[in-house]
Amino acid sequence: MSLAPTSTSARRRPSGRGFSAWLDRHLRWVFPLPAVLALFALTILPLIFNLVLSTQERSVSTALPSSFVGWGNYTAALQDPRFWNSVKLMFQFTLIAVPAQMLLGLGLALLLSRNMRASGLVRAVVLLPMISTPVAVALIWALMMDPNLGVLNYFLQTLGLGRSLWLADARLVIPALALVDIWQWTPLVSLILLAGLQTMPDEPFEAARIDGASPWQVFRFVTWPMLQPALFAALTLRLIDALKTFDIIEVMTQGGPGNASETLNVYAYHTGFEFLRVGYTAALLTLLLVTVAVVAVGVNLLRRRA
Amino acid sequence: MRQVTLFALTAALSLTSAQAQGFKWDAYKGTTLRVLLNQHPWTTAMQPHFPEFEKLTGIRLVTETYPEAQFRQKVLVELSTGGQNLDAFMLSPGQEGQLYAKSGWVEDLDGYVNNRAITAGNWGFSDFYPSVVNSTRYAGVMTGVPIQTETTMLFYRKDLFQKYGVAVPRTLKQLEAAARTLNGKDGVAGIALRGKGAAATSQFAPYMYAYGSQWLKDGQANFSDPKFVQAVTFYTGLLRNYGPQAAVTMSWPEVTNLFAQGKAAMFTDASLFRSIVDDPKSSSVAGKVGFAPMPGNKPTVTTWALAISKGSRNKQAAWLFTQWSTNRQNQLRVLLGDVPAVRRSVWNDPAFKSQDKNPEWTQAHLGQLTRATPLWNPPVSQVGEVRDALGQAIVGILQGGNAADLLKRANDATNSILSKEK
Repeated sequence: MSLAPTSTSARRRPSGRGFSAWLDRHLRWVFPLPAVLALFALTILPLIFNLVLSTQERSVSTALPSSFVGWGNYTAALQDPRFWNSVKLMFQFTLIAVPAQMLLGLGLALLLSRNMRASGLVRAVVLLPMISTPVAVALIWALMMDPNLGVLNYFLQTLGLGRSLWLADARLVIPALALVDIWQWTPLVSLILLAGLQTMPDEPFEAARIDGASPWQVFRFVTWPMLQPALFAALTLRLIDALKTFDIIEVMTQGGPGNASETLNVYAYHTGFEFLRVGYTAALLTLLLVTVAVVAVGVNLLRRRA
Repeated sequence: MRQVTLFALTAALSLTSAQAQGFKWDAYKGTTLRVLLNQHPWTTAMQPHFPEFEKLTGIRLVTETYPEAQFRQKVLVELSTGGQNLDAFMLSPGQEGQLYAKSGWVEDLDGYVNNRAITAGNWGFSDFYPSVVNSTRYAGVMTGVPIQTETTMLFYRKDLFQKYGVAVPRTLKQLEAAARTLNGKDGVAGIALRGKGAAATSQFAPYMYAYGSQWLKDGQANFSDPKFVQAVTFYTGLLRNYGPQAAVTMSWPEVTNLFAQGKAAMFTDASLFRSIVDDPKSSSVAGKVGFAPMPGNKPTVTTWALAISKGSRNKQAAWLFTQWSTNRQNQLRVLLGDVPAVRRSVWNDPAFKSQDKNPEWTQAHLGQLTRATPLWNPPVSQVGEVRDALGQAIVGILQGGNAADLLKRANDATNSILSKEK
């Protein structure tokens, strides 16, 4: 027997006619319909369109070439040194920014979870970077990192460390951008972990204390295992976001100097909106989507095993 | 005989004035025009006067203004999807002219400017600087009516030049010598120039022309031309030896900012930037800035124009707006707002002459207009991609790469882009 409301109503009014009866019988399809439509219109349709576009050599203008090329854009991407460079930079950026955010976020969360004076105020201040507009954040950091006029070099020099070119140095630009990302998104990680810490029951901690565990042992064997769901949630979120970071990079360097900070998302933006190669851009973005999806699924698999 | 001439002259004069009076400004009363504008000093100077146009013509103006990058994208997207809802818009022919003309997105205004039926007799097209008008022509199409113009010029610190006895450079050799002398003095870089990839290409153009080279030769990229390589080597050499740190990140906002903060002795860029570097509100060196013609004598001229969308349903009304915006009175208004006008007559207007803050600048700007080249960008449809290819080479050379190799690569990339163009 079934507990579904549709079947009971169907039993109550077996020979129902008219709209309301029809509605009653198909209620389980009617309610999700708006969501399904929205999903279709906003996600699935554009995705299909993107896939179709990626099989064509297309530009916005008829004065430029347009033809069906099948896998051509994908094979071209795989032979494009600039594509590989952008993939490399995308992972470099992510592998600097995300681990640092996780570590700092964890430390911050542990600090904030203690009951200290004015903890509400401290929490509010810590969250400030996260609620700032990325473009404004990027502009201010770009100003601070300016080698000729910026304040960061002033500090470096005061400390006797010499000057740095920051965004103008091809080797430093990715770490410098990652620094901004860390500044902005560490609060999010700490917020998620803090929520994880505060939902933990007290009993295991009391038991550990009675057994005479050291603080490190408490962390390693009690806190850490119980924090893992929150850790993985934060990790997944940040990995997805870091891989497709766009605003900070485009505003601060436009992928420069040269293409030393041109991550895949930024490269796709340039091929699309500056070079007007719409089909190739669609292919690049499909590859980005696949990469991000693989990473996200991979992290989830890790979590299940953990 | 004299009387006859006099009579003919009077007749002609009264005819034109009759035409001016007879011109029906309100022929498209009730129309609504949608106009897209770039956030530019011209827009700032003109926007307050738009209600006058509405009153004169009975046409309602709906304007949208965006910062340059978004503005270009917005226009591109609208035009590429037919442009039916767009009537008039600002256009930078040197950047988009070729693509828009070839794509058939803009009205060819050649058919409008001399058409007596639709153009007010006293509008006076012959008053426009010919070199500026020519800079709107791409692929045989007059893509717009110029509204403002910029030429490349040299900006220098008068106080430093005087203190260290440097003469105003006229040739590229003298420019380098001046940069060498002043570099490091009083904490300034000898010269600031754009070094940021694609953004550098347009300001490199006057150096390229001075070395006797050009963008394309027989429809092919000309970046491997020995003269072209020499020019790039000279330009990047100036920056590497006497330029500020981090030149590879600098476009015009960074260059003008650096100069305005008193950290550079010279820079060469568009004449419009006087409004930034010589304004006490934005510049610590205001009043000490000297202006001179572009050393090497091959400046470029850049134009913003008003264009009409081919898909527009209100082309005639849009043409009224274009005429009105570029008439003498409005050109004088923008000139008084520090925006270089495109009409000869307004530069001689007493209203301007009496308040000209910088005759030196006026002279340098006007003196160059007649010989300035409009091709500050390679004349190709895929301007963005070609600029990027060349920009990559410039950045590579600034970072110590081999000029010939990098330019060869940019040359090949550009040729492969060009081979795909129809």
